[in-house]
Amino acid sequence: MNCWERFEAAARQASRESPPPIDVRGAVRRGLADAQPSVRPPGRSRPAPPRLAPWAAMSSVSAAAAALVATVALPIWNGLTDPLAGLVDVLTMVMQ
Amino acid sequence: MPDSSDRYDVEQSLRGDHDAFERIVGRYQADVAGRMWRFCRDHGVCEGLVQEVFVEAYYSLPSYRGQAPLLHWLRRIATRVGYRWLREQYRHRREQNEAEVVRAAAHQESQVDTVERVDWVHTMLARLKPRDRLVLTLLYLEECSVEEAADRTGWSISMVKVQAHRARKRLKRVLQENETKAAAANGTKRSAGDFLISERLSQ
Repeated sequence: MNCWERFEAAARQASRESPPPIDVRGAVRRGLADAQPSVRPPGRSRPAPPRLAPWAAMSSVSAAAAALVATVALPIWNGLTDPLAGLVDVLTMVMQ
Repeated sequence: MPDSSDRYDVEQSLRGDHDAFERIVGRYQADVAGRMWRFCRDHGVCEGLVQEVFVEAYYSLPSYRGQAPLLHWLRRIATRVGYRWLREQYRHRREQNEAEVVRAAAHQESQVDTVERVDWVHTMLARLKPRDRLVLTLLYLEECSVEEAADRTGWSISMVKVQAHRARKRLKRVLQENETKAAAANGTKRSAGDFLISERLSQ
Protein backbone atom coordinates (compact mmCIF):
# COMPACT_ATOMS: atom_id res chain seq x y z
CA MET A 1 0.00 0.00 0.00
CA ASN A 2 1.59 3.29 -1.04
CA CYS A 3 1.25 6.53 0.86
CA TRP A 4 -1.61 7.80 -1.30
CA GLU A 5 -3.66 4.63 -0.83
CA ARG A 6 -2.97 4.84 2.88
CA PHE A 7 -4.21 8.41 2.85
CA GLU A 8 -7.41 7.48 0.99
CA ALA A 9 -8.14 4.66 3.41
CA ALA A 10 -7.60 6.94 6.41
CA ALA A 11 -9.69 9.69 4.77
CA ARG A 12 -12.59 7.23 4.40
CA GLN A 13 -12.36 6.57 8.13
CA ALA A 14 -12.23 10.31 8.78
CA SER A 15 -15.35 10.85 6.70
CA ARG A 16 -17.26 8.33 8.81
CA GLU A 17 -16.25 10.02 12.04
CA SER A 18 -19.22 11.64 13.76
CA PRO A 19 -18.77 14.93 15.60
CA PRO A 20 -19.51 15.24 19.32
CA PRO A 21 -23.00 16.57 20.10
CA ILE A 22 -23.05 20.33 19.92
CA ASP A 23 -25.82 22.69 20.96
CA VAL A 24 -25.25 26.32 20.07
CA ARG A 25 -28.84 27.54 20.31
CA GLY A 26 -28.20 29.44 23.53
CA ALA A 27 -24.89 30.86 22.33
CA VAL A 28 -26.37 32.03 19.02
CA ARG A 29 -29.30 33.62 20.83
CA ARG A 30 -26.98 35.39 23.25
CA GLY A 31 -24.78 36.52 20.38
CA LEU A 32 -27.75 37.99 18.54
CA ALA A 33 -29.14 39.58 21.71
CA ASP A 34 -25.76 41.20 22.46
CA ALA A 35 -25.69 42.65 18.98
CA GLN A 36 -29.32 43.76 19.22
CA PRO A 37 -28.88 47.33 20.54
CA SER A 38 -26.62 48.28 17.68
CA VAL A 39 -27.85 45.93 14.97
CA ARG A 40 -31.44 45.83 13.79
CA PRO A 41 -33.17 42.61 12.68
CA PRO A 42 -31.97 41.37 9.30
CA GLY A 43 -35.23 42.21 7.53
CA ARG A 44 -34.67 45.86 8.26
CA SER A 45 -30.90 45.80 8.26
CA ARG A 46 -30.56 46.28 4.52
CA PRO A 47 -28.70 49.46 3.71
CA ALA A 48 -31.08 52.27 2.81
CA PRO A 49 -31.24 52.95 -0.93
CA PRO A 50 -29.00 55.87 -1.87
CA ARG A 51 -30.79 59.22 -2.13
CA LEU A 52 -30.81 60.00 -5.81
CA ALA A 53 -32.74 63.32 -5.80
CA PRO A 54 -29.75 65.63 -5.00
CA TRP A 55 -27.65 63.91 -7.65
CA ALA A 56 -30.43 64.22 -10.22
CA ALA A 57 -30.85 67.96 -9.46
CA MET A 58 -27.11 68.59 -9.71
CA SER A 59 -26.84 66.75 -13.01
CA SER A 60 -29.82 68.72 -14.43
CA VAL A 61 -28.19 72.05 -13.50
CA SER A 62 -24.92 70.83 -14.99
CA ALA A 63 -26.62 69.76 -18.25
CA ALA A 64 -28.41 73.13 -18.56
CA ALA A 65 -25.14 75.02 -18.03
CA ALA A 66 -23.41 72.86 -20.63
CA ALA A 67 -26.20 73.52 -23.17
CA LEU A 68 -25.93 77.30 -22.59
CA VAL A 69 -22.17 77.26 -23.07
CA ALA A 70 -22.55 75.17 -26.25
CA THR A 71 -25.13 77.64 -27.69
CA VAL A 72 -22.79 80.61 -27.17
CA ALA A 73 -19.60 78.83 -28.17
CA LEU A 74 -20.76 77.14 -31.37
CA PRO A 75 -21.08 80.30 -33.58
CA ILE A 76 -17.75 81.59 -32.24
CA TRP A 77 -16.15 78.28 -32.99
CA ASN A 78 -17.55 78.28 -36.53
CA GLY A 79 -15.98 81.69 -37.08
CA LEU A 80 -12.62 80.44 -35.86
CA THR A 81 -12.57 77.34 -38.01
CA ASP A 82 -11.78 79.37 -41.19
CA PRO A 83 -9.55 82.38 -40.20
CA LEU A 84 -8.82 83.29 -43.87
CA ALA A 85 -12.51 83.58 -44.75
CA GLY A 86 -12.46 87.42 -44.43
CA LEU A 87 -9.40 87.76 -46.74
CA VAL A 88 -10.78 85.34 -49.34
CA ASP A 89 -14.08 87.20 -49.39
CA VAL A 90 -12.31 90.54 -50.12
CA LEU A 91 -10.12 88.98 -52.86
CA THR A 92 -13.15 87.41 -54.50
CA MET A 93 -14.89 90.80 -54.51
CA VAL A 94 -11.77 92.54 -56.06
CA MET A 95 -11.43 89.87 -58.74
CA GLN A 96 -15.03 90.26 -59.72
CA MET B 1 -37.64 24.76 -2.32
CA PRO B 2 -37.63 25.21 1.46
CA ASP B 3 -40.30 23.36 3.40
CA SER B 4 -43.14 25.30 4.96
CA SER B 5 -41.68 25.33 8.48
CA ASP B 6 -38.39 26.71 7.16
CA ARG B 7 -40.18 29.35 5.13
CA TYR B 8 -42.27 30.40 8.11
CA ASP B 9 -39.28 30.53 10.44
CA VAL B 10 -37.22 32.52 7.92
CA GLU B 11 -40.03 35.06 7.56
CA GLN B 12 -40.39 35.34 11.30
CA SER B 13 -36.63 35.67 11.76
CA LEU B 14 -36.59 38.49 9.22
CA ARG B 15 -39.06 40.27 11.47
CA GLY B 16 -36.60 39.92 14.34
CA ASP B 17 -38.15 36.87 16.02
CA HIS B 18 -35.23 35.12 17.72
CA ASP B 19 -37.38 32.15 18.73
CA ALA B 20 -37.99 31.37 15.07
CA PHE B 21 -34.29 31.55 14.33
CA GLU B 22 -33.58 29.33 17.33
CA ARG B 23 -35.83 26.70 15.77
CA ILE B 24 -33.78 26.88 12.56
CA VAL B 25 -30.56 26.49 14.60
CA GLY B 26 -32.01 23.49 16.42
CA ARG B 27 -33.06 21.87 13.17
CA TYR B 28 -29.75 22.20 11.34
CA GLN B 29 -26.97 22.55 13.90
CA ALA B 30 -26.10 18.82 13.85
CA ASP B 31 -25.58 18.86 10.09
CA VAL B 32 -23.54 22.06 10.21
CA ALA B 33 -21.50 20.71 13.14
CA GLY B 34 -20.69 17.61 11.06
CA ARG B 35 -19.33 19.83 8.28
CA MET B 36 -17.32 22.03 10.59
CA TRP B 37 -15.91 19.03 12.44
CA ARG B 38 -14.20 17.88 9.25
CA PHE B 39 -12.50 21.23 9.01
CA CYS B 40 -11.20 21.59 12.55
CA ARG B 41 -11.69 18.36 14.55
CA ASP B 42 -11.68 20.20 17.85
CA HIS B 43 -14.78 20.38 20.01
CA GLY B 44 -14.33 23.97 21.18
CA VAL B 45 -13.33 25.29 17.77
CA CYS B 46 -16.16 23.38 16.12
CA GLU B 47 -18.69 24.89 18.52
CA GLY B 48 -17.36 28.37 17.79
CA LEU B 49 -17.50 27.81 14.04
CA VAL B 50 -21.05 26.45 14.14
CA GLN B 51 -22.08 29.50 16.14
CA GLU B 52 -20.35 31.74 13.60
CA VAL B 53 -22.18 30.01 10.75
CA PHE B 54 -25.57 30.68 12.31
CA VAL B 55 -24.81 34.27 13.27
CA GLU B 56 -23.62 34.91 9.72
CA ALA B 57 -26.72 33.15 8.40
CA TYR B 58 -28.96 35.37 10.54
CA TYR B 59 -27.51 38.55 9.12
CA SER B 60 -27.51 37.13 5.59
CA LEU B 61 -31.15 36.03 5.75
CA PRO B 62 -32.35 38.91 3.54
CA SER B 63 -30.21 37.50 0.74
CA TYR B 64 -31.83 34.04 1.03
CA ARG B 65 -34.20 33.85 -1.94
CA GLY B 66 -35.88 30.60 -0.96
CA GLN B 67 -35.10 28.90 -4.28
CA ALA B 68 -32.94 26.15 -2.74
CA PRO B 69 -33.55 24.31 0.53
CA LEU B 70 -32.39 26.26 3.56
CA LEU B 71 -29.92 23.51 4.47
CA HIS B 72 -28.08 23.90 1.14
CA TRP B 73 -27.79 27.61 1.74
CA LEU B 74 -26.49 26.99 5.28
CA ARG B 75 -23.93 24.52 3.94
CA ARG B 76 -22.59 27.13 1.58
CA ILE B 77 -22.18 29.55 4.49
CA ALA B 78 -20.55 26.76 6.52
CA THR B 79 -18.05 26.15 3.70
CA ARG B 80 -17.25 29.87 3.60
CA VAL B 81 -16.75 30.01 7.38
CA GLY B 82 -14.66 26.83 7.30
CA TYR B 83 -12.48 28.18 4.50
CA ARG B 84 -11.94 31.41 6.43
CA TRP B 85 -10.87 29.37 9.44
CA LEU B 86 -8.48 27.30 7.28
CA ARG B 87 -6.82 30.49 6.05
CA GLU B 88 -6.38 31.77 9.61
CA GLN B 89 -4.90 28.43 10.61
CA TYR B 90 -2.55 28.50 7.66
CA ARG B 91 -1.18 31.84 8.79
CA HIS B 92 -0.61 30.48 12.32
CA ARG B 93 0.77 27.19 11.03
CA ARG B 94 3.78 28.91 9.53
CA GLU B 95 5.00 29.29 13.10
CA GLN B 96 4.65 25.57 13.72
CA ASN B 97 7.84 24.11 15.10
CA GLU B 98 9.80 21.17 13.80
CA ALA B 99 8.94 18.97 16.80
CA GLU B 100 5.35 18.90 15.71
CA VAL B 101 6.35 17.83 12.21
CA VAL B 102 8.42 14.96 13.58
CA ARG B 103 5.54 13.92 15.83
CA ALA B 104 3.22 13.86 12.81
CA ALA B 105 5.72 11.67 11.03
CA ALA B 106 5.71 9.30 13.98
CA HIS B 107 1.91 9.14 13.85
CA GLN B 108 2.11 8.16 10.23
CA GLU B 109 4.64 5.51 10.99
CA SER B 110 2.74 3.92 13.82
CA GLN B 111 -0.84 4.03 12.43
CA VAL B 112 -2.05 2.50 15.65
CA ASP B 113 -5.78 3.13 15.62
CA THR B 114 -8.56 4.90 13.80
CA VAL B 115 -8.34 8.04 15.90
CA GLU B 116 -4.66 8.42 15.13
CA ARG B 117 -5.16 7.65 11.47
CA VAL B 118 -7.80 10.35 11.31
CA ASP B 119 -5.43 12.65 13.21
CA TRP B 120 -2.80 11.87 10.63
CA VAL B 121 -5.18 12.75 7.77
CA HIS B 122 -5.89 16.12 9.32
CA THR B 123 -2.21 16.75 10.06
CA MET B 124 -1.31 16.04 6.46
CA LEU B 125 -4.12 18.22 5.13
CA ALA B 126 -3.03 21.01 7.46
CA ARG B 127 0.27 21.21 5.58
CA LEU B 128 -1.51 22.28 2.42
CA LYS B 129 -2.60 25.72 1.38
CA PRO B 130 -6.18 26.59 2.45
CA ARG B 131 -7.53 26.29 -1.09
CA ASP B 132 -6.06 22.80 -1.53
CA ARG B 133 -7.19 21.77 1.90
CA LEU B 134 -10.72 22.99 1.26
CA VAL B 135 -11.17 21.07 -1.98
CA LEU B 136 -9.71 17.84 -0.55
CA THR B 137 -11.80 18.17 2.60
CA LEU B 138 -14.93 18.48 0.51
CA LEU B 139 -14.04 15.64 -1.87
CA TYR B 140 -12.51 13.14 0.56
CA LEU B 141 -13.83 13.93 4.04
CA GLU B 142 -17.29 15.16 3.15
CA GLU B 143 -17.40 12.86 0.13
CA CYS B 144 -18.96 15.54 -2.06
CA SER B 145 -19.21 15.05 -5.81
CA VAL B 146 -17.43 17.59 -8.01
CA GLU B 147 -20.79 19.25 -8.68
CA GLU B 148 -21.58 19.49 -4.98
CA ALA B 149 -18.13 20.88 -4.24
CA ALA B 150 -18.66 23.48 -6.96
CA ASP B 151 -22.01 24.44 -5.46
CA ARG B 152 -20.58 24.69 -1.95
CA THR B 153 -17.56 26.75 -2.90
CA GLY B 154 -19.13 28.86 -5.60
CA TRP B 155 -16.42 27.74 -8.05
CA SER B 156 -17.11 26.35 -11.51
CA ILE B 157 -16.97 22.57 -12.05
CA SER B 158 -13.81 22.82 -14.15
CA MET B 159 -12.24 25.02 -11.48
CA VAL B 160 -12.96 22.34 -8.85
CA LYS B 161 -11.44 19.66 -11.09
CA VAL B 162 -8.29 21.68 -11.74
CA GLN B 163 -7.95 22.64 -8.08
CA ALA B 164 -8.47 19.03 -6.97
CA HIS B 165 -5.85 17.78 -9.43
CA ARG B 166 -3.29 20.29 -8.19
CA ALA B 167 -4.18 19.65 -4.54
CA ARG B 168 -3.75 15.88 -4.95
CA LYS B 169 -0.37 16.41 -6.55
CA ARG B 170 0.77 18.64 -3.68
CA LEU B 171 -0.59 16.26 -1.08
CA LYS B 172 1.26 13.34 -2.64
CA ARG B 173 4.46 15.36 -2.36
CA VAL B 174 3.69 16.13 1.30
CA LEU B 175 3.00 12.44 2.00
CA GLN B 176 6.28 11.41 0.42
CA GLU B 177 8.21 14.03 2.38
CA ASN B 178 6.47 12.80 5.49
CA GLU B 179 7.55 9.23 4.81
CA THR B 180 11.13 10.38 4.43
CA LYS B 181 10.92 12.29 7.72
CA ALA B 182 9.36 9.28 9.44
CA ALA B 183 12.22 7.11 8.26
CA ALA B 184 14.73 9.68 9.48
CA ALA B 185 12.93 9.98 12.84
CA ASN B 186 13.11 6.22 13.29
CA GLY B 187 16.76 6.18 12.40
CA THR B 188 17.67 8.80 14.99
CA LYS B 189 16.49 9.36 18.52
CA ARG B 190 12.79 8.92 19.16
CA SER B 191 10.70 12.04 19.50
CA ALA B 192 8.47 12.74 22.48
CA GLY B 193 5.35 12.08 20.40
CA ASP B 194 6.70 8.77 19.20
CA PHE B 195 7.47 7.84 22.78
CA LEU B 196 3.88 8.59 23.83
CA ILE B 197 2.50 6.42 21.02
CA SER B 198 4.78 3.55 22.01
CA GLU B 199 3.62 3.92 25.60
CA ARG B 200 0.01 3.75 24.50
CA LEU B 201 0.70 0.69 22.38
CA SER B 202 2.35 -1.14 25.22
CA GLN B 203 -0.68 -0.63 27.50
